[in-house]
Amino acid sequence: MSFAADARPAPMLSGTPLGDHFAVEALVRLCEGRMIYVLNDDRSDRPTRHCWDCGSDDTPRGDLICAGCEVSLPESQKFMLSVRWDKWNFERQLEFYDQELEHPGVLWPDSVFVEGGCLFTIVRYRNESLMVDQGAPFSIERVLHLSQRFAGLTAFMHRSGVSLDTLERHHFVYRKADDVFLLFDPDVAEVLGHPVPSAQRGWEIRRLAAILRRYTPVNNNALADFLYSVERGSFKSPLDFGRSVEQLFNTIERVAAPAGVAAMTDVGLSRSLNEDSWSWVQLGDDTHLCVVADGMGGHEAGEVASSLAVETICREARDMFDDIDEVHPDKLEELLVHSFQEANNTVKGLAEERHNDMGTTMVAVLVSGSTGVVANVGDSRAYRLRGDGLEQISKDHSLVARMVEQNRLSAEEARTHPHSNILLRTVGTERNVEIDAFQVELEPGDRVLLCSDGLWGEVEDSDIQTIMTHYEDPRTCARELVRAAHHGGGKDNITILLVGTAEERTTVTS
Amino acid sequence: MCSGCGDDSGSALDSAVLDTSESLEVVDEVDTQTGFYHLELSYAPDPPVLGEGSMEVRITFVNSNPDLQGAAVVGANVSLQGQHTDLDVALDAPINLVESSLGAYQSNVTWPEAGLWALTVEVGAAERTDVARFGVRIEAE
Repeated sequence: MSFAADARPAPMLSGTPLGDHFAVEALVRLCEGRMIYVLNDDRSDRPTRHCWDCGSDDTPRGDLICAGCEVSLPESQKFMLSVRWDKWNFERQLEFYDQELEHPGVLWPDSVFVEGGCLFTIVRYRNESLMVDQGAPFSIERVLHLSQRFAGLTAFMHRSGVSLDTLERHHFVYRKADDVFLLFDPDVAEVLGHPVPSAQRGWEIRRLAAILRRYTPVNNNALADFLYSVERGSFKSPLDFGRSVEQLFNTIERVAAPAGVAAMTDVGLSRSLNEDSWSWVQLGDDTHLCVVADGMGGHEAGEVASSLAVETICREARDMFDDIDEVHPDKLEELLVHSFQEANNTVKGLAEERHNDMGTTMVAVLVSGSTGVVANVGDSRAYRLRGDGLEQISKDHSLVARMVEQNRLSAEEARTHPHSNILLRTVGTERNVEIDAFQVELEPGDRVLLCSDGLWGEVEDSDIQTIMTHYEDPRTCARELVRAAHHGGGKDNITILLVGTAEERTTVTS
Repeated sequence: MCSGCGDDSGSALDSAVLDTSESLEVVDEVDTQTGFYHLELSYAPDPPVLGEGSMEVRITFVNSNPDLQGAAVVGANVSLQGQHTDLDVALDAPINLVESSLGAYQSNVTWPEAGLWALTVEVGAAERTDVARFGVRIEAE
């Protein structure tokens, strides 16, 4: 499902009154297809206050005791608001909320209404944060807990005749006090008058697995493999899935996660669809492959191309690594380039099958001890931070990069050049694409950054360096890089993947 | 710049003593030094009084990008330093404010003296560390 970017209404400013009881406090996030706000009920234009316990509107503004039920009223109650503008879905969403289902895994709205062509869903705010603001990875426990809770929730929904449509990170919020993720204004596919038929019960679990696999630590292939199989449809029932997750609680190895590896992806401020993908996989004890891809071709093409490319390269690399008898930089490069080419040809094959022009950039780094090998096609980049110095490792395969090489443009002019988006090489547009590979020596403390052009197109290298130097925690650093890209304009999807080297990858208990 | 040693490498909060020579305005809304963030301040009790209390800073973007205008700044590093404008009294150390709701940062503050205080709030997010300076009048109980 995608929405035209220009269909999104202008953000509401602080103080804007909304409905009968609310006022906008601040916009929090622009996500795919919705905006999230914080509201309060501080409506100085009203002579009385609303009681959220009994519904009374009879309490004079100055009073702090409800005239209806005599509970004490807070000076101001905060709320979280989800605004949708996809009008063709309003009816289904309203029908869903009319069910008044109750489940602890869902934030049930205090108010739902349509105003000015938008659907407003308002829940009482209890210090939740948004999952889209959380970088990967989560601890294994958190991934398993979220899986199990969601399995129960989905089973409940199905019994109640509700099936969900697309499931994305922006449908979840995190409540720190209870250490739980909750569903907030999900996309509803159907509201039936009877339980959802068995044959239609696997979809939500598959979508959840696709989200959670991204939050699985890089070195837990067992859990990632499990979620991958779920994503591919190995469970037809949420309850079966829940039982399997329960078994994993006891059996899965609690391997300490490498502390220096983190990732985050964000739709940005202008696009309505995130076509970027990233993935990571452990190949050996101290060997990881990390990949970022930036898809192109629009809906049902760009995100498919980038996702297929990162999945294929990771799978190929894992298969090949088992056959390597010696971990040598040349062998690693050979493995990486071969896997990269497989990914390219796989995307090309799908593009031919679908008769479309899907394609993607891709940059990958294979880190093994003090050896790094980078490979890229397109303009997603790899950087190395050593001390205070940031160095771009990859070379962009773009028209403007070539013009800079030919001294026809300065690097600064290239950033704003109208043809800055023209790529000379991409993954999936021809078979056996030419792949650049770079062997990089890594010293303890070095950090490698992979990113899509949504970062480097908005943030100067010097600012990327400042942020990477300042924020040592990789998840925080990834979030701040995303924020910097928003500051710069957020015109494109943004994906960040950070890899620390040996000194950084001192382990933490997950 | 540190008035003592001339070092200008650190942030405003590196200096233990704030320059209070310029006149201060007691405000509950303030823009940061570079105008990138807008801070809205609130106190409990309100007005703040001598002794224990708390304060909250709500931070939003002031940006030429219309999509970010007025958006909450979530997950920032926010710290507070304060000094009495007439007495040689300061808050013990920079106080780190904790995000109590999306874009709102809170901390308990103990005001040791009544009178006008110069407060400096440092907001660290992305590549920017921005500073806002303002005054608050602490009432004697």
